[in-house]
Parts: sequence; C-alpha cells; structure tokens
Amino acid sequence: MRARAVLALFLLLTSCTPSEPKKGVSSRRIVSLAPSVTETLFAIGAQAEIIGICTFCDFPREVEKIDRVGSYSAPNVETIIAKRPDVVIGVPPNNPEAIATLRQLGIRVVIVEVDTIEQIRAAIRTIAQEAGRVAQGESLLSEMDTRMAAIRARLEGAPQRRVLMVVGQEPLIAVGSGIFLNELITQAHGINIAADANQPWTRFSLEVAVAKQPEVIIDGSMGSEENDKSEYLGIWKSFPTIPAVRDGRVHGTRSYTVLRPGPRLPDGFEEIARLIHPERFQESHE
Amino acid sequence: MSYLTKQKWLLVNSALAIALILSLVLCAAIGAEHISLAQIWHSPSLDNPEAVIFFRIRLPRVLLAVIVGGALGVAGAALQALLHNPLACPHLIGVSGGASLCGILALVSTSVLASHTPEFVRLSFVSVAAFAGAIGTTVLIYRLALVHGRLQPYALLLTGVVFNAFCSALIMLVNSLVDFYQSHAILFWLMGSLATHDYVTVGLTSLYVLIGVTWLIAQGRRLNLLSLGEEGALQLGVDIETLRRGIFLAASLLVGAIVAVSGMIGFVGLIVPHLLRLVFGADHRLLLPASLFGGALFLVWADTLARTVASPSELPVGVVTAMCGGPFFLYLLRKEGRKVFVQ
Amino acid sequence: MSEKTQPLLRCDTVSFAYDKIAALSSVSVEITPGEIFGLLGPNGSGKSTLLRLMSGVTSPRSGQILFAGQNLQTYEREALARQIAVVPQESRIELPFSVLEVVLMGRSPYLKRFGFEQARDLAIAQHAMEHTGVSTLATREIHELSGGERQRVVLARALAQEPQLLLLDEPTAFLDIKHQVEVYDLLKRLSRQQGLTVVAIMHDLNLAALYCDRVALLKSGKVFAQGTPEQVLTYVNIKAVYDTEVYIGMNDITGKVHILPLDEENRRRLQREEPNRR
Repeated sequence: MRARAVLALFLLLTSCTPSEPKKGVSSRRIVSLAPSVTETLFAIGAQAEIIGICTFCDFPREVEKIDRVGSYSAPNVETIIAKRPDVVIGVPPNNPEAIATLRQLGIRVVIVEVDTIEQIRAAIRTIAQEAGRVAQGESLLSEMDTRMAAIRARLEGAPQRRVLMVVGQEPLIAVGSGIFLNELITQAHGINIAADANQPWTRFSLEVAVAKQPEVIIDGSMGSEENDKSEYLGIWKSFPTIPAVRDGRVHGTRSYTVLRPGPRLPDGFEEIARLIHPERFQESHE
Repeated sequence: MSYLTKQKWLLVNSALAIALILSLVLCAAIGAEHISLAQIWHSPSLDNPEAVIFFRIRLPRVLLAVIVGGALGVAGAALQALLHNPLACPHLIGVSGGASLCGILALVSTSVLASHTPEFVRLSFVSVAAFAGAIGTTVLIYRLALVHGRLQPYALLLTGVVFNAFCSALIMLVNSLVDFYQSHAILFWLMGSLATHDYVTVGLTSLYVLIGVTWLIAQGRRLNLLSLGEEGALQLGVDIETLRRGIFLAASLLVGAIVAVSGMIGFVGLIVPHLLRLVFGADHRLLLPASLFGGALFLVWADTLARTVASPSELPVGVVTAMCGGPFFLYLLRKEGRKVFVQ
Repeated sequence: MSEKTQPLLRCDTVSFAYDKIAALSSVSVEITPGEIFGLLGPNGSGKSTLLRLMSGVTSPRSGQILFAGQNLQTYEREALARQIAVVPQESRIELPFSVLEVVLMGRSPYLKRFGFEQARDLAIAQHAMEHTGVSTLATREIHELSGGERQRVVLARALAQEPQLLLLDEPTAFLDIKHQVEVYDLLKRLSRQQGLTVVAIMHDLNLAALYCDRVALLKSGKVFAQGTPEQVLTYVNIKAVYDTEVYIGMNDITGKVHILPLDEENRRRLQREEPNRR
C-alpha cells in the first residue's frame, strides 16, 4: 500500500511539468496491450504516439522498433508506469489485476471489446478518439466498409455452403457463434455448422462434424495454404465421406494473424470468402 | 462372506466383465449424433457416414476408454497397497507430472515442425515425448525416493507430491509464455482426452497395458501380505524390496503411457479401487482384476457423458471424472475420517 | 531320540551392527525343542535384533544361526515361513481387512501360487482364533479393534502358520493382566501338548520367571547370563544388568522366584540393615 502511495505521489509530481500536454492535441503517449489495437493505431496514422506494445504485436513490420511492455495476459505494470502513458488500451480479458492496479495509480485505461464486427467498428472509433484522430478513424472505417462491400458484391448470388472453421485438431476446437469470424463466414455465404454450440470457441464433437457434412473446412492448425497437400490433412484424412475432404476443399489459413479483429478485417474477410467460394475470385491472385 | 473364495472371485469378475461388454456396445451406440447400429450392420462400408462415425470416431474412442480406465484402476489399487494408503491415486507418484510437462513442451513446439515433418510423426510426437518424460521421471523419482537403498512408501509419496508441484509450476511457466491458442491447447491437454482415430495406437496401448496389468494382478496375494507391515510380510516369505520396486515400476510405466496417450484423467484410479474395496473387501486377489473392469466401466461411461451432455460441444473427460469423483472423495474422507479417529 | 538333545535353534557367536553401531557381539544361545525361552534385558540390549536374526529376515555379520541343524540362510523363504512364525510388537494395518482375512494370511506359505484358501486352511485359522479368544471378532474389520485385540489376532495368524518355532516380541505389551495370563497359558499349553517351541522377548521379569523354562539375560549386545530363571534372575545379575536393587523371593504357590522392585525408602532401609546381601 505504501509503495503505491509513493508511486502515485511520484506520478503526480512528474506530471506537473508544463511541457507535457494532457489531452486532445496530437502528441499522446499510448500503450497498446493487444495486437489489433496496435494495428488500428498504425492504420489511423498514430504510430508515433505508441510508446509501448505487448509482446505478441507483430504487424506491421515497424513495430519492431517499439518497446515491449509485457505479454497480452501478463502486462508489466512497472514498465508501463515508467513510460508515463496518457492512455493504455487493451482488449478483454487481458489481465484484470494489472488493469485495476494501473487505474488505481491514476492511469487512464480503456478496454475495447472486439468480439463482433459491430464491436470492432466501435473499438476503432474509440481508439481513434483516444489518439485524437477521429477523422482518420472514420476514414479508416469507411475504407473498410468499401472493401467489405466490394467483396460482398463479388459473392452476390453465390450458393450457401456448409463451412467448418477450426483452430485445432486434437482437441477439435471450432469457431462457434457470437464472434466476428462466424459473422464473416455468414457474410461469405457460408453456413457455420458449429454455430449452434452457442459459444465463440467450442470443443466440437467430431461426430457432429462428420454428420453435418461440411463442404469447406478451414483449418487454422494446418499451416499456410501453399503446403495444402493431402498428407497434412491430419485427422480429416480418416473421414473421406465429408464433402470437404472428398472434394479437396480442406484449407489451411495463412495463419490466424490475418484474422485479427482490427483494420485488416477486410483481408480476413477476403481470405475466408476466397476459401469458401474460390470460383468468385479467379481473376485476381494475392 | 468375510474371506475370498474361488466362487466369489469367479462370480464378481464374470459379472463385471459382462457389464463391461454390455457397456461397450451401449456406449458405442450412444453419441452426439444419432446412428443406428442395424443400419451400419447392413452397410458397413465407409461411404456410409454413420459407419464412418461408428468405426472411425466412436469405436476407437470407446476402446481407448476401456483400456485407459482399466489401467488406471489397476494401477490405483496397486499403488494404494504400496503406499499403505487407501486414498492414494496413481497421479500421486509424480510420473504424471513429468509426462505432462514433456507432452506440453512437445505440444507448444510442434508448430515449429508443422511444415517439415510427416503427419504421423507430428501427431504422435507429443505422445512419444510424454512417454519419454514418463520413463525419465520414473527413474528420477525412484532414485530420489531410495532411503538407505530401500524404497520406503513415505519417501515415495513425498517425492511424488513435491515433483508434481514442481512440474505444475513449470507448466504454469510455459503457459504464461505461449500465445492464446497454445495456452488453450495446454489447458485441454491437461483435462484429458480419449479422442482417437488410430487403431494402431489403440492396439499398441492395449498390448502394453495388458502386460502391465497382468503382472500387477498376479501380485495379488503378495499385496495382501504387504499390508501386514515389513516384519509380517518378510517373515511370511515375501521379498518386500523386490515387490515394492516391481509395483512402483509397473504402475509408473502404466500411468506414464496412459498420460502420454490421453492426458491427465484424474479420480479413476482413486475412486474405483476404493469403492470396490468397500463393496467386495480388501483382498487384492479380487480387488485388482475387479478394478480393471471397474475402472474401464467408470471411464467408458464418463466419456460417453462427456461427449453427449453438452452436444454439439464436448466436455473434457477429466472434468466429468472430477465432478463425479470430487464429491464422492469428500464423502469418503468424512466417513473414513470418523473411523480412523475413533481409535 | 537324538532330535531331543539337538537344539531346534542355535546361535553361534553371532554378531550384528546397524551401520557402525554394534548391536550384538558374539552371542551364543541354544533353544531346545518344546521349551519356552525368555529373552530379557533392558532397552537397547539387543533383544529385538536377536529375535530378528532368529526369524531369518536378516543375516548376522559374523557367526551363524542353525535351525534344525541347517544354516538359516539356506532355507527357502516360504519353507522357512512354514517353520518359524513371528509376532511383532506392533502391527498397523491400514487397509480394511477382516480379522478372519488377517488370520488366513498366516496360511499363505501353504497355498499354491494362485491358489485360494481351502476348507482345511479355514479350519486351522478358526482353530487358531479360538485359541487366542478372537473367534467372535472374525467378521470385524481390523481397524475396529483395540490394541490388545489386534495383538491377539496377530498371534492367531502366527499360530495359523503351524510353526515349529514361535518368536514373539513383547506379546503382552498392550494386554491387561487377564489376557497376559491367558496368552502365556496358551503358549505353555501349546508347548507341552504340541511341542511348540517359543522364544519371547519379555519385559515382565515375574512372568518370565513363572512361564519360561530357560532365559537369557542380555546386556549391551552380549549374553550376560543364560539358564533357568532361578539361576539367572538373581539380585546380583539384576543389579548388574538393570542397575536397580530388587527383592528376590519365593512364591509359595507357584514355587517360582518372584522379583519385587523396592522403593527408595525401603532400599535405604535394607542397605542399613543388611549391608552384605547375597
């Protein structure tokens, strides 16, 4: 308790220097505790204001120059405090204790939810506001909307296809409902066969997976699309009755980093759409 | 009847074996998806999705549950005799901790191997690593638990508990260093899984388990004498040191293999022998084979519950055994506690 | 006839040590068949060690022990278990066996590899339980019994082994006087009627004097005196070994010596009155 009081006093004294403006004007000191937040800040041109990021932030390449302040689940409170941020932005659940400590020490902490597409959009707005770049935020959002609409246009009239998206084989963990990935699948004219599990991530029954006959399987555990050879099918090889297996429509993703709930949402959407309806994307190649 | 006769032995084991066979059939017929056994009988080819579900998903899993449950049951009963403690469990001796740690380390490093190695190696890498960890741990704990060159039960218990704590701490460390998805994979591994599609694994594991449990069951009479204490057992003709070493090795290698194949499934080895002892008596000549069948029965039904109750999601089987086992264990503790303290 | 003169058990200059601490030095004892032999001595004198060596579970560092003329170490374990039975001082059994099951374990050396107890084994066990008065406890769990009852169960188990030689380590430590007498009466009966040879570590010198045919008095790992109770339990010997003064008298009824400790007051009075006692 005493240590915290001393720390609070220190902060109070040091923050009284007139050369540090507090709010609203361009130079904010921002700490990002999630990869999607970091990407958003870069996308709205606020990269100069980022003074600390979490260890898993890896996009874009310029993040290599920025200091790390701990991992997503274990942010280093001391390091963060030493950087004297104006705001710390994170994504649930992060680390509730660390968040509480930072708040107690008078640091502004903003937590943005990014489960659904609506939330992702709201998050971008909030982050833009905190960074004092509301206009850039809106323009990012409209750019994203345009791209998503273009992809949806390409998919106009495409047939519904049964899709299963998994991130692990043993145990079998699938994308359920209440998460943006499910929404992307739906918008890409896919029927997520694991949606009625009613959870974002479900330890899915393999029996149900076989019985529901998915036509496309997107398997995040399988590595990148280039290595999409049959010997890497893993467990799917044992089930040739699944249409996706029979027709060679089991695909790996380039890695789940492209499926982040941030400004690259349209990229993720395109990837998913391309995997579900490749025939609609014949002309252009990545 | 307050002592064991041949008739009782045959009766109890036959009844349990029949119950097990019936359960095998029933559990293979029950699942998240409704399938009809009659329909499969008519068209067993793998073009029929129901046949695929039955032969590729359900049957291997149910068979594995039987093997794992049986192994845990026998190992538990034998260890309870070795440690002179009717409330001991097979994971107590520390081998599970070491196996889990190595399995988890392999799990988080498989992504490194993903692009270069053939599928069979990749999938079994974790199990092989866990088993190697089990063997290493067995040797290590054996060495650590020797007191004046002899294997003392209390030393074994303490060493196992401490070693488990140490491995848990290391697993927590690994968990904090990996990313979100790997962290989940670790968690699910720790909760146990009997999902398998590979009859080769099932076959090899059965063979291995069969050897181990057969040897342990054959020690039945000696295990009875072991509970008379060192002086009593020695004097009745039992070579205590050799017997203790043998039981420790056999039980460790059994448990190690089980953890390597299916992760940490708790409470089976604790509850089944204890319950059977309450019903059929403490004579190990009956208790060990009964625990084989009893463990298999318990686990095959627990797994059936795990894969149907939250359909289409599945619960980890370790959760189901803990939820059945936990309250039961507490109840037993209260009942036993009163008895022990009366003296 | 020569069997009668040949000792059942003979310890020949036997020595033993735990790590570097010598427990027994050059001990020689002979046990005749059919006798009740008492091992006496203060704590740490080596009685328990000697009993352990006699049971064959450990071997002496030097010297040898012969059972029925043959070196104890050359006997096969289970064969020995059919000849020699041991009743340890304390038994803790953590698993819930019934009394009958515990007694039946004494039949183990007679069973085939994977065999079950037969009717004969059951009869012998029941007989043994009757002898030690625990028949009514047959179906009770061993945990439920008192220390004394448990001790009698363990004795029954040892008797169920049908041994020639019975070794006991303070068999009456937890028993009240009635049961103490009962146990020794039983042992005496078995030795007279069935030729059972008994070697018992005893703390109670009077019971030793009453029941034992011969005794050995040990001090610091050596045999201080060996012979009949009258020969061994003298004022001088007891003073030398136990470092205490006692009154030795003759019990009119039994015809045996009895040993009575003296309190401080009387010890001083006796010293004043009879300074030169025998």
